[in-house]
Amino acid sequence: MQGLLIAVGGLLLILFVLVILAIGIYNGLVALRNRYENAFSQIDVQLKRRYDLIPNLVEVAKGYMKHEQETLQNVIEARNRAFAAGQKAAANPGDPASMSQLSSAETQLNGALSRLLMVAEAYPDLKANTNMMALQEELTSTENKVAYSRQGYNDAVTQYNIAREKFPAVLFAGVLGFREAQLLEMENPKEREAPQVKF
Amino acid sequence: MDFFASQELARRKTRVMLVLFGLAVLGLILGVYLLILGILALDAGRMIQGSVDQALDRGGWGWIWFRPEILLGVSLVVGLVVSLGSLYKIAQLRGGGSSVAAMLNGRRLLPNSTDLHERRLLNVVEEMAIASGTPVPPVYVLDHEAGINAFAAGYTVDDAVIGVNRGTLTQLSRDELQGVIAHEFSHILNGDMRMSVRMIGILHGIQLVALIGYFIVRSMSGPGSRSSSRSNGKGDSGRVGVFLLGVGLIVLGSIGLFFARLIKASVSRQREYLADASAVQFTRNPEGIAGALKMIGAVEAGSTVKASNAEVASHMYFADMFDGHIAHLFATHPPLIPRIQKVDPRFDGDFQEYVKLRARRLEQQRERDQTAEGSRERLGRLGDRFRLPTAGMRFPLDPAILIAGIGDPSSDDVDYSAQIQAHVPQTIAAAIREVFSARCVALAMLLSEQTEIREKQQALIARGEGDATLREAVSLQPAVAALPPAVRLPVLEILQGTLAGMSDRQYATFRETVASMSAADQRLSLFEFFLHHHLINYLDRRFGKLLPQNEVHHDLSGLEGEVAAILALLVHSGHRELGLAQQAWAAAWKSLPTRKAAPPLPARIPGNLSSTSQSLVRLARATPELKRQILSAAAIAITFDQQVTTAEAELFRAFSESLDCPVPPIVATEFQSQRTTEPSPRS
Repeated sequence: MQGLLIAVGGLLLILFVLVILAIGIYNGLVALRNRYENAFSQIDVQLKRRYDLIPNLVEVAKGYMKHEQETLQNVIEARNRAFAAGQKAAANPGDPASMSQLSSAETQLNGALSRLLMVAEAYPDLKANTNMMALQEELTSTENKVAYSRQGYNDAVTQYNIAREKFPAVLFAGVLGFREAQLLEMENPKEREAPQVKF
Repeated sequence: MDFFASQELARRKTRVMLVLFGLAVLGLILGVYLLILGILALDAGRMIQGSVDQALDRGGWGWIWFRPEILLGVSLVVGLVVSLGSLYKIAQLRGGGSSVAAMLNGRRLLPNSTDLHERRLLNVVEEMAIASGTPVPPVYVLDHEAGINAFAAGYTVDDAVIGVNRGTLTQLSRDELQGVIAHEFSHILNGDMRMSVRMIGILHGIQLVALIGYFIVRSMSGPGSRSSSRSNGKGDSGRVGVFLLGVGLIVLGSIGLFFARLIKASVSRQREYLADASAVQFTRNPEGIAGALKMIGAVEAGSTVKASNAEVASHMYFADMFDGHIAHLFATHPPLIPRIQKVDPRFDGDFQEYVKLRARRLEQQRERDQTAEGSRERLGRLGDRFRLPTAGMRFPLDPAILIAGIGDPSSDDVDYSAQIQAHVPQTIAAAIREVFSARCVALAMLLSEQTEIREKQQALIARGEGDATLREAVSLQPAVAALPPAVRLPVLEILQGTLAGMSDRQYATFRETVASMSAADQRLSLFEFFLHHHLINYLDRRFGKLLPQNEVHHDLSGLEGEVAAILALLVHSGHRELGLAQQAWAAAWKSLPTRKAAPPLPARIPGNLSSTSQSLVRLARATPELKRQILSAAAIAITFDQQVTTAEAELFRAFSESLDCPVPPIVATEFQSQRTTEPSPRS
């Protein structure tokens, strides 16, 4: 009788500890997921700001670059694609498909922008335009902010992914709907050059 | 009631509450003990016919009813379960308000949000934070909640967050929203959050007992356990015993929970009335909070909250999350109608009229919102009632008024804060609401005026944070250096809120850069020193590098050295002339509750302030009452010559905030000296 009581008690205690553990892991993962989602919204704000700036930039450049319609058109198209990808990513931050879509759209946009700025070098009037200078400055600053908040987002995602793959958590995480989150990489060697055109 | 008194009261109430909870746990232990004895007696009775009679024959009732080994075992097990459960929950919630907000699925509002409703909420929170001198808390929106409700969570002022239901943003006017936010700020300033975290913890511990009973019953009646059990008599009776144990634990746990909830609810309701009263005091506009409460009564969704995790935070909410209309024993909030009547005695309990009125007013409000943002309109109304003080302005200041204002902003402070916000230059105002450039502002504040040191510091920034940051910091530096002294602390308060959005790694590098930069500058001004101590201290707690501190110093013994070091700094900053400084020193020391004679005043401010940092950390661990005495002495040290410059006044604020005692803007407090002559709603 007493042996049974002890056995049942011990079993219950173990069960109980397990339940407490599971609750703790679940809540921890929820908090981490919220954190990276919030971190993404920081990138999102800056990206939107950048998407708003680009049409203005193109508008100013249009007046001077009559013969570069294609370059300008490319920038606008890349911007529109990136904008759409950005909206999709914001609806579901961390989702691998939409994150890699955003990252490739951003890479294309960076390429198109740097081409535009390179071409603009040949138009001294455009380079001296105060509007253009202000826009470029704003664009540079926004891209710095994007880079910084992207770093923050990637840190948060890494932290979440590590917590998710640690031992007891890895057993529950998949069942409870905690999917692996995707880093946002913008691998573009020109990325850093693009905003830093001298004027 | 002032800040220190209400903090002290909160502490005392917490102690009473802990005793009551302790009694509840004792009752629980006793109950479980009797239960086990009963089961054993029953069990024994099954095996030995008439055992109770035999037992009585053998040893009388004492033999059955007093079994020290069982009592000890039960006390140990129940005590362990309750305290482990409590500690687990407290540790979880102690992690800061952001963990609670995340648990409730809150979305953090970025300081640079452009949505009209969100912008308005952020402005209201910023104004209230500046008015009370606290860092701007992170604001979370619960997007899926249509009811009107809001909560404050966190363990201390430094890790507080404010969460607001979406419904609150869309259905309340600016004044009403301000009332709600003021109510939440009162919870933050009164130290209600620490108390409620402990209450939830203990509640959780007691609930665990019932939960264990529930598990036992579940596992006994489950199909799996039946098939495996053998059906001999002994096993069966054991099963009955264990089953009874489970049922008994559920009953006892529930009874314990009942009383614990009763205690928690009654404490919580008292704090709600207090917070309502404080909200009226902060905004001096009963209409605001009364309107918000009436709106809850008038709309269908009321103040309900749907999130399944929300119960843990029920008492932190603005209004009852279930149904505010009905009064019952477990309500964490007083019923709606008496609450409204306390702030608006004319209210007769009829929401019908209000429903119609609201519909009309909301329509107008919407039109107005579209044309002009609320705060600008407010500023226009204020006109030039408050002038922003210039750096050289001197005025006499009563130290008693200085102390009375701590943690107790008035409506003038709130108005004045809106004015301060308007005085922050556009470039800075935009920069401090965005993580990347807010960091640059913080670093720019540290850049020295001397070229040699500055170059060294710039190299440090470039190495730690990269060239982009350096460029931005350098370009912001002229604007930062030109900030008027009265605006610097408010700028820092907004900055702190924004910087809490960094990632852990980003913060680690930032902290290192700041530390190396201030080490490079041996001639940091005292004000800048306090600012950065405050900033880093705040962020350390935000990022969980520093746990909230418990008070350990109840009196001045052992702290004299620290107090003397700080007072000397303040005396020298407040008084140029040595003779006057000596007198101020003596007066400040005399006001301290110590019998020791004043040590001689050090000749001048030491060049290196690094040891001061540790002094501040130690002083921050004093009890509220002791802090009041230290701050009084500090106020005397600064105001002794009756000539206070804005810089000195700000120095006092920065010092006080390093001790976690938020001070409203001082120039507004100067107006309080005129205000106290007219009848004031303060008690």
